[in-house]
Amino acid sequence: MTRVIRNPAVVCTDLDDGAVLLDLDTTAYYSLNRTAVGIWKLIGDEPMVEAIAARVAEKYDVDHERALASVKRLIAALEHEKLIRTESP
Amino acid sequence: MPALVSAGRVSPVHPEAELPGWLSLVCAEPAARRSVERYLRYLAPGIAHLGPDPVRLVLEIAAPDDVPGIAPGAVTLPSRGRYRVARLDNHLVYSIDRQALVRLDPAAGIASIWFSNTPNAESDLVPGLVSLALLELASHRGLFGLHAAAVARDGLGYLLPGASGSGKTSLCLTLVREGFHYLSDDFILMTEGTGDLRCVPFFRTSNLDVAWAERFPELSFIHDLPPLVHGKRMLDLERCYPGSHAAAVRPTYLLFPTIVAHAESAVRRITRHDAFCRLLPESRVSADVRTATAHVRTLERLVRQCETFELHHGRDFLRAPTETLRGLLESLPRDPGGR
Repeated sequence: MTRVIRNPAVVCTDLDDGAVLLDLDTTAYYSLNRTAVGIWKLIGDEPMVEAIAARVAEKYDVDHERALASVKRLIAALEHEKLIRTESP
Repeated sequence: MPALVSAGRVSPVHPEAELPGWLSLVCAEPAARRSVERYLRYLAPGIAHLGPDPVRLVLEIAAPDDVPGIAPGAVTLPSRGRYRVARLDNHLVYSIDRQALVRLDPAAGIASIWFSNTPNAESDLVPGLVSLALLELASHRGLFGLHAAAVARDGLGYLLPGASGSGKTSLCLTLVREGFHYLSDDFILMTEGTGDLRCVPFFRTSNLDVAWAERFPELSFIHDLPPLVHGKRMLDLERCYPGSHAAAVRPTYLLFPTIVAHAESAVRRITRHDAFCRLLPESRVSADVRTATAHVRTLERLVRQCETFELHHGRDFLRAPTETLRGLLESLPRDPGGR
């Protein structure tokens, strides 16, 4: 089970027509689509990857494996940019 | 159009601008002190909003080897432009090695500035350090800087954010000649009270391009003003267009100006998301995460409050600025907020 922790220096601004993550450490910013910002918000509520995928599967009515693959892909991208970090037991 | 004053010699700044009593400046070197006092008068419109809690600036000139560095034990924060940044206890520290160090105590309103005054020192080093210190203290007091021109008329506020060279000053001057009130053609402070977000000037004085200004008869004296480093001339537009100052503006429209090679100018609506992303590079965000987060929330509120557009000014603006700009602004929605 992998735990996801947001970088506390990252601010999410969710506007009606798109969301932006701003890394206050680097001042780099990233645009998120609706699904990605939904996952970003879920990370704040529920740090375990499996549980995030379950919530995504339920919300978007997709099978769990597909949701898990999407969540892992996004988490890898966010971690690469140091917007989150992950911990595995 | 506001009444014009004489087109004779016009003083470029407000030498009579008083500095508030809650602002104190400590500097042992008389020439440096006079120079900084002059610069503070230039920033008087913005400084007025920092009080009434005290602000104390302490300047010390040092040899390069004596400019303090970041102390051991300080927590390194993300760098900001050319500055290395750190936190030590309640102090924020901005450093340029062997050139300058700014140590800020935001809670106490104290900025201590060391700088190297060597013959090859940059001419704008000290003004840059003073601006940095004041903007950092301002952001801790809920006033956030934005690189933008701001004008208003008939209860509608127009913010034009953009980097140098995007045409803010030319647009601002054209609008002031049309009777708009203005805050600044370059840099403003945003503040949120209990009501709407509003903007106040950081400084008012314009740096006018001579070739642009001399098109207008009332500015024919522009050549008489002393040239700045880049050849522009410094002028407070109020001297030529009395009554054009506005104390504050509630932004209604965000117009991002761009000079284009097209024959015709145009305005094009952009998304709030796009507008927010364009505001970020024009914002000087603190290295302190809590303050920076408040700044970002203020930018979010700004884009939510405004209608957002690109303003492409093309060759027709150069030929007929007043008519072109009038047409562009008339094409904006008259029911702002109805989106």
